[in-house]
Amino acid sequence: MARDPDIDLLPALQAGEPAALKSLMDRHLSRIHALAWYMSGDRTLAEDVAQETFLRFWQTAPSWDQAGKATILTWLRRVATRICIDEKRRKTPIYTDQVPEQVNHSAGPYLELARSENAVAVQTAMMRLPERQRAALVLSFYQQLSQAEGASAMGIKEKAYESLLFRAKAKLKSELMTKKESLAL
Amino acid sequence: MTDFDKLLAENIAPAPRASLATEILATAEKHVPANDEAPRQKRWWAVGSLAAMAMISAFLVFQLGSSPLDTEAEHWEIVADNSGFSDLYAWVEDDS
Repeated sequence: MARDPDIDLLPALQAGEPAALKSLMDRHLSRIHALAWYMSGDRTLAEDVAQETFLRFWQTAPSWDQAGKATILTWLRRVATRICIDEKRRKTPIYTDQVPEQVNHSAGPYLELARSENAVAVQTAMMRLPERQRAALVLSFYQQLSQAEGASAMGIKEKAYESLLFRAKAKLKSELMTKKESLAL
Repeated sequence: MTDFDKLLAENIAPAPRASLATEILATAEKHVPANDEAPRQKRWWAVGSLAAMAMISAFLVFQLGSSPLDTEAEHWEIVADNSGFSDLYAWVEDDS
């Protein structure tokens, strides 16, 4: 297995140093947030998932065993994906002990206008995929993972991942291509 | 790149809010991970040690509960032998 590029942060993370967590987020927060956004189509939810994922790693770091484990980034992706898939069953965030500030997380009219009709159509079609198929597509296309990495991130066998990806692409393609005339292609 | 791929590529995720990392850090600092791996192992050792001590104590109590009288009787038998009163000792012991 290749050396984990984030392993340099592990001693400080295990010692509970916030600076190390900040460095880890500098490297991967955008990726994990994007993964959660593609999975949920919801910016607020994506931020909640990103927060929970990094806090779970923060809690896990002291007992992190390097031997025989996935890389830290693979672990983060796996947890974020799992949280997104389980989101329907999850109603309350687990790390909140205060009433959250009322922040307007909505994308806002500017962002919605900035998103092209095609982009909205793609995300809408993706949201109609079953969660696991959507996860395979997101990991493969938007996170640029190989089949082995994607399977590892989902905690499944490569064959199962391949099958999910195949079905996701076929379904999405069929849905989007039928709208091809209305989309600007 | 196929038309399909181009279409997917148009769907770009928004960046997270700039303050998100700060908020996560603030929450993390309130929940500093408890590095309790070693203490957990120590607790098991402590429980094991206590169980072993309890077993040894129970064994000793059982042993001491019966042996002092035997040891005392043997002791006095030896004393009686050495002092020439073994017959008298035997007579008293047999009688009692």
